[in-house]
Amino acid sequence: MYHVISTGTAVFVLYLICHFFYKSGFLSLADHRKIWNLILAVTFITTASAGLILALKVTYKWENSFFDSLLRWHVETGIAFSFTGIIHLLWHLTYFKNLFTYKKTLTEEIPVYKQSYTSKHFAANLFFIGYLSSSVQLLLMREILNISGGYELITGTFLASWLISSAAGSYYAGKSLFNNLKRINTFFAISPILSLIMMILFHRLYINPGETPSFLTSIIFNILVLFPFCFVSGFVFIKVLTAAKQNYIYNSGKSFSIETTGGIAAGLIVTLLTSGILNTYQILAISVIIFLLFLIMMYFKPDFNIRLISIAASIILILVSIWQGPDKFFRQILLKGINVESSSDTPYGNITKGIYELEESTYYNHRIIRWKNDEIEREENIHYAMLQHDNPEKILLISGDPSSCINEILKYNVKKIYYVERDPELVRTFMTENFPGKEIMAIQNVDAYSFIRKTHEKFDIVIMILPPPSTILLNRYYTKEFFENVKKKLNDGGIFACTPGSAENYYNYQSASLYSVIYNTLASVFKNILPVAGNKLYFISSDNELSTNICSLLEKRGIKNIYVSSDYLDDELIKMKSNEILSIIDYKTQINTIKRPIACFHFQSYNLTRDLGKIVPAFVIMLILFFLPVFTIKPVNFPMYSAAASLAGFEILILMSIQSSAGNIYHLTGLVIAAIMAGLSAGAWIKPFFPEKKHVKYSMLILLTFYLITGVIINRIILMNSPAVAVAILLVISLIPSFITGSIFKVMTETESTNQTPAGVYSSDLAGSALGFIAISGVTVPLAGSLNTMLIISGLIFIGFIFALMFQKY
Amino acid sequence: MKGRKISKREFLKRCSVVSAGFVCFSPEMLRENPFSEQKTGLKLAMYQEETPRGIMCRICPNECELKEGEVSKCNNRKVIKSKLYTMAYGNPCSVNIDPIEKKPFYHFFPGTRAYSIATAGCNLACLNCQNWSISQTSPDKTRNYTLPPEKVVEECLNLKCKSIAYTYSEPVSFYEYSYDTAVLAKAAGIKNVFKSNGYINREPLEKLCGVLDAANIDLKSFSESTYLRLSGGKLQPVLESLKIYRDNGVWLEITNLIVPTWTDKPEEIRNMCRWLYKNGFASTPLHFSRFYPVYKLEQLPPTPLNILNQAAKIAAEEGIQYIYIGNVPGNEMADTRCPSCNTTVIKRTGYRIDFNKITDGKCPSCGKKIDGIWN
Repeated sequence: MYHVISTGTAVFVLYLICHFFYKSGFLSLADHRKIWNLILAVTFITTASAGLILALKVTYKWENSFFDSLLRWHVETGIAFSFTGIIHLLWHLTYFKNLFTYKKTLTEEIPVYKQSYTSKHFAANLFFIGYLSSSVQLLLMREILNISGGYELITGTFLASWLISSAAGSYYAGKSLFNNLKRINTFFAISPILSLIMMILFHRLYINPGETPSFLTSIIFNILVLFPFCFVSGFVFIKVLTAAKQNYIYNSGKSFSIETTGGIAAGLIVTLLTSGILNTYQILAISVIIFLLFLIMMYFKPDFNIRLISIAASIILILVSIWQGPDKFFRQILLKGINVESSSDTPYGNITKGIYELEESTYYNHRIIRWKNDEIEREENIHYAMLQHDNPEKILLISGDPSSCINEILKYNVKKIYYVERDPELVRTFMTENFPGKEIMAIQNVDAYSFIRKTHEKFDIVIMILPPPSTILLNRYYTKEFFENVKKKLNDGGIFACTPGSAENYYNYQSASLYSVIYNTLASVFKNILPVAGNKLYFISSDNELSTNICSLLEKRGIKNIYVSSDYLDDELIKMKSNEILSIIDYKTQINTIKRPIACFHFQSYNLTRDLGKIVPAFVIMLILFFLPVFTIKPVNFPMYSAAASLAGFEILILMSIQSSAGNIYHLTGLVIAAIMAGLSAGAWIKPFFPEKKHVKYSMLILLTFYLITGVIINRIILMNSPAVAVAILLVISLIPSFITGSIFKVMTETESTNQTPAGVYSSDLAGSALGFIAISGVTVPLAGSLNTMLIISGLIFIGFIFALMFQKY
Repeated sequence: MKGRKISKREFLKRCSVVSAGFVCFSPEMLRENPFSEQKTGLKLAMYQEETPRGIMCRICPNECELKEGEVSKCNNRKVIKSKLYTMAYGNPCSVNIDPIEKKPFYHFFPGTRAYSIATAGCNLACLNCQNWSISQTSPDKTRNYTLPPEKVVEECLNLKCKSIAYTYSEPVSFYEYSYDTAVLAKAAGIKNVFKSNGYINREPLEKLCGVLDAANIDLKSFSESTYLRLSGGKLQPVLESLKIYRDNGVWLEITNLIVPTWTDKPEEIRNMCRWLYKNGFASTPLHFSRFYPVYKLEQLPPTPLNILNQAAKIAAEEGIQYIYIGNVPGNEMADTRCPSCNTTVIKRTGYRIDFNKITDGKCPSCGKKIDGIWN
């Protein structure tokens, strides 16, 4: 028992006595405060030291009765410290109040740049800000997803941390008196390096070798790594935008438009360069070098010789980056202990080859995909499915390592093997070696979803060796739509096998939910589903009867294996395990579709159970992250917040619709983002089409109508006979809300009669986008489906409209 | 007017908070039991002691001191009305039949089957746990079978299993359940085997040894700091446990999972083998097991074979007589050889016994005793 009340009372009584002595003239105010400062210091030092020793005791398991007694001291002095702290807080209450109150009294003139810089200078500055921000975002996202596991929730957290840090920067810029654009831009140029240093430092300090951090750690990691760069990024944009506006060079809408164009350029260039031309850190280095060169040219006004030297130095540095890229160095740090041989980036991921104790292995996004002595993996991947067919001749292998799997496939009398893998670099990695059976392989370097839709071939067996549905992209391969297409391409009695996760000695509720969804989705297409619990969980599906007598079938065929054999397996035990899985399946649960990617949601729930104790703190941080901006956003800016959140959510829906329509997401993702950003850019540039005073309200009404109508017709568009026409319509459609949202931004930042600042509007825009991305992709789409999500988006716009009616009284 | 503005804003804030709570704390996201009712098995815990802070659990070296309502580190013990109760009694969440070689036991009734049970909970928190979905949770959060000790014995007899294996998670954390079951099993002529991390205090272990026939202990590392970082435990209590098992006549086998970059340093392996030899474990089978990326250690490669072979070579150099390599299908270090004449006395392929030439516990060629429990 601790003395909370008694210690607290003692502190207050002592304070009152001391205060009385001061009021009576025995003590001066200075001495009175000295005494209490001393008490505060002593209690703080005691509490902190005891706490530190206790932390060390727990961490290193020191056993000593002295350490145990420290706990009492830690708590008791902590109580005294807290109460003394409250007294100090009351002393300094006015100071703390002022911290959160914006005073307009101290304003610094924005320097006049008009004489020195033309509109082209500002345009270039804004363009490069947009370019550097977006390119660093895209590149850091790849790296952080590699470190943290790459599932959808992490992506959402990344985007949210990014946008909210930027929003904080732009919000603070609106209040800051720091207006030296040269210095601000210089800080911005070096801030990506700062973020990288933070990433490496925190990775070394807090993540163990080979460890995938928990969701909680990942959130904190995201925030800490992104904050330095994003804060400065939001800050610099607002400062340049304000300078441009105040020097009568550009209005806010045009500045936003130019910055967005820089972002579009970054998206296109980064996508192009990562197509096997350059790697992540090379592009990052080159982007920083180019920005620094621009900075020198614009703000440092060098003479001709210095210009020449700067350009030459930049070219040399770029060439050095290309010739001796820093990627291997960084990959070596991130994959602790592995001797990294090579690292290359593709639009789909990172491929690293490493050697550990003379054995080479290949990693895809930091997860091992190829290693020596992989008998268990390769035999299970192939034989559980192949044994179910009497005479498998034509096989489709979706992803996986063909050089390893083919040895197993060739144990059957196979005539043709189709291998489908989207990533060309991965295909090159796998196909470098000569291996038997290569001559009967047909390699299809396309997306499996598209391939299955378009191919005219029919197969006896389709084996899918893709990862579980951890993201919406991967979820496509576990949907009813995909399974239906697979079945259409199977010969009579054909077999389909997939592996949605690992087999365990116990399936928790979340994994049972995931496997129930996959099972039911398969069962909606195939007559028979057989779960086989190997090292991974395999779902074998067919319209023919399936058997758990793996060992008997092997014997009958005369196939000799190392692991999948009666040496390790037993038909009776296989059957028992299979029945156990069937017993945990919830046959009433819903099925997984493109429009309702519920499997992806369950996978993430399952993944969170790895750190049960950290789920609540993680969600508390996320709540704070998302809803803190709501408390800082002025009601007048809420229409911007809701329009941005809706647009972000709509972007996710368009991407999903394109998936189901065209079956190809990768290249079209870039197009969708480019279309939306172009719409924003155009909307922010072009003169408003409604009277300024009514523009926001009318625009919100149009958005509301648009989202409601789109919700109704989107399914019809998806189901059109011509996917190309459907995609074109979807792309055109995506221009409309983005254009209107851009024009809302323009009007809200340029209306002189209101008290909103570009900083306030921009931060509302970013915070809204953050909410839209994660809430729509992570929660509403999987749980409510796409149609209901459109209603939610419309509801959000309606709230924005109400706020526009209430607060935009100009 | 001012009041009106505030109230609108308040309205917005409240709406946001409520919707945030609704969206982010969706019952779907955090639900735990959609399928079945809870089946917890509360039973008064053994080895509890009152302390000034509360109740101390004396089963394992964690020695959790718990106040009313608090749950132990192993997630299995809870203080209710000033008494410590185990929540893991008669409610296993995982029940399987496994070949005894899978545990692995190579010198204990080869070729037999073990009726394997586990409840949720573990007193360590290994980053590479392959049973994390049961070890890192508690019995009130898992879907459990209702299987009291007498029923376990009955099922084991029905299924003709030679032994009951207390395994998967950590049997020390369901001590009362495993002890009571083992007592009944012993009376029914069934063998009891522990697959454990060896993280247990002397007194409960000595009591347990009275009913236990064999134990396979995971010796996770031979470095205190690695033990702490990898598993959250200490090395010394595990070494002590090994001695207690041996001194109490329980058949012992040791497993050392070699995790790349963590526990694969040759000096560390040599020190471990040296300690085993010096402390009388030369004839205790030592299984070097291959690691596969799992749970939190997903960004590591499987253990290279040459490291496993090197470890086996070091163990042989240090005088360990029975050395095996596990988790590597098709490897040659799965056979039992006579330490005297090197004759293969048991030939294994996978979990299958190709031949067992041991007669009366002795090598058929030279007559040397082959340590183990054979029949």
